[in-house]
Amino acid sequence: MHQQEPACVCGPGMQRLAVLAVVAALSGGLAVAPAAAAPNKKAKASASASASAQASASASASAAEASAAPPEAAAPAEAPPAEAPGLFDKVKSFFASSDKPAADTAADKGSKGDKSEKGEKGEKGSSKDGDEPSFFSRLTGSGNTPTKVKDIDEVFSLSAREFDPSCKSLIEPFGTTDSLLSLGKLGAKLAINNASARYGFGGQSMDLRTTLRLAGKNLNWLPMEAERMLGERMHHDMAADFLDGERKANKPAVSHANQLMQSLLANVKDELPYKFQIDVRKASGNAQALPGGFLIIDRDLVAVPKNEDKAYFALAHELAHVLQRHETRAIQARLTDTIDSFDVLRKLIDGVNSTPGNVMAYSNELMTRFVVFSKDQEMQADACAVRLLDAALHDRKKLHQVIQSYQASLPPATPDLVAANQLGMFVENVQKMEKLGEQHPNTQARSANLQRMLVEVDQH
Amino acid sequence: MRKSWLLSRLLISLFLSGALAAHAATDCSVPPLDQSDKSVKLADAAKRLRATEPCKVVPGLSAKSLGAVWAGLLSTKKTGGRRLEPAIPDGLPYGTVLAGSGGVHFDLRAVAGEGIRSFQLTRSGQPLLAQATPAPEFDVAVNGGDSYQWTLVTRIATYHGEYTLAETAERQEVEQQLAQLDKAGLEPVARLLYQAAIYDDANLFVERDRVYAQLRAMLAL
Repeated sequence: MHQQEPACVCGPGMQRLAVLAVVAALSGGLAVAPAAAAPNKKAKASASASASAQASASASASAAEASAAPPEAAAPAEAPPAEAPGLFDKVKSFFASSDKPAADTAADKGSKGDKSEKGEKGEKGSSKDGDEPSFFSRLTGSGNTPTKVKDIDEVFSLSAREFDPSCKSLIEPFGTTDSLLSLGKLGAKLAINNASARYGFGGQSMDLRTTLRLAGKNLNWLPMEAERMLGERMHHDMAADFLDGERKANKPAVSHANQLMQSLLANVKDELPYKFQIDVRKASGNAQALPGGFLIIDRDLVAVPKNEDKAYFALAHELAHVLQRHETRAIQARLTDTIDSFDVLRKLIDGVNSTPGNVMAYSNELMTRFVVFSKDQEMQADACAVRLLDAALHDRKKLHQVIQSYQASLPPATPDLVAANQLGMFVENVQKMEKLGEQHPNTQARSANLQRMLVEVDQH
Repeated sequence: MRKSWLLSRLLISLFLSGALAAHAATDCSVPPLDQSDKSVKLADAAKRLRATEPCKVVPGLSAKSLGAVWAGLLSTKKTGGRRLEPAIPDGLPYGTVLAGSGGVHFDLRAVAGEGIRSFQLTRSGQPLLAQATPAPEFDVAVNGGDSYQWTLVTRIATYHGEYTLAETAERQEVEQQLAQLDKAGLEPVARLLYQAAIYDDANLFVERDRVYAQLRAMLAL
């Protein structure tokens, strides 16, 4: 059952989009920087193991994000109109040339090499090698706060979809300013696209409502303050399970956890948007990330020397969940996608084809979408973990050792079972939705993904 | 000159002995207990626990541990955030465990509703047990300090964990403390709270969680 996104040709829509872009850009320039983003830079060692910083002024790599889009098969349901060929093709080069560093642009002219490789160069080279930053990345908040603008080259009609599985960009944009600027940039692109469509140069025209809806699904617009508060509540609820760092017997484990976290954070090239904190839990073999920068690692991973490699991987994985804002993206996906879905569900129930079977099939599709999304986020966190470890370890042999050690610790491979009928699937999906945070890809998928990432960073 | 030196020494000694006494008193009194849950049973349990002196009931036990287990008992254990792997369900062993006379206990009832597909236990990588339909509860005999890994596959998730047996010295220390506790003759709830604190102090979290389950049932939490 597919939901159709409206796509219409409307002149005033185009004008409104252009206005929106300008307003968004202006408000971005004037907006107050996110309060939660403390002005400190980079990770700093402290008793509470905090590391804070501000958003970075990096021009994101448009080619990288385009190439990072997952295959169509990954989309469980709808056929997004934005993915129609040529939607942004006409305008992509205009923005890409202004965003990409000069060296990268030159490389573009010379040869059409690997898209993802180019993208990565563009990303890493931004404002670090003295390259001219893009217009958007030069915009700052009120306190000269650098902003992180997301360059959206592919817009999806689903929010519950991971569009950077190889983790080309380690940090998701955060803060209202970033979202507004990203929205402005998207609006400007769409305005040009609409003009292109209107005057017969190709592409599909989209109206303001559609654009905003797509932007809402593609940008992480939940305020960072809300994210931090959510994390604080969860942290408070779990505090009884943490080791008391003041006790002499616990100090080595707590201190080791801090050291591992700091070594990972110190090697993140982008500036960090969160104040990170780590606690050691009275448990075994696992690690957890709460929204807003709270990391938790189980005691045996940091207290038993043989678990050192797994501890390293576990922390990198959890750090990635925070930096990618996975928890808030998941919440947002449930909000935005379900709002659309309610509408479809109402039509389904009222419609002439409404049968219990159809309603159940639709419910299953909806729930499967979130389960798949949760698994995709785990895969992305694994991919980011490989990149974080690659940066922190400075040693390929050690990197392979850490990854292989984690792969060896995974449970034996078992195939995913498909329920025999709609009813069985419905029951399973309901149970999975209750344990959404526990939905992980199976061992073979996870292991293959890690192997793929190792090859990718080796080639870099 | 000498007189003032002696006086200052005396004052320092007095201060230090006072500070040490205060510290000892702190460690021998039950720390503040959260009373946000207003149930009568819980208030009564808190009152009885406060009436005890940890350093006398179980010498060597940190009073802070009692505060920690009280908080743990009341903790809602809400899940949230993202985990590296699915959380180990209640009733399954992990970390360091004390094996009972029958061996290590497995209780799969917490996940029975998920539709169990298989259970597998290995010792240092060697298969020990593999069942498609395991019993809801069973004990596994153990030999020595090897590490054991189990994998439980349900229709909803794949769980796995690893455990090792407590070393003889650790076990003896815990047994001594439990024997001390028995001598104190506390009423059942206070006794169980002390027992949980002993396990918590020894990093025997599975045993502690089992005591929590008993306490929650007794206090209707």
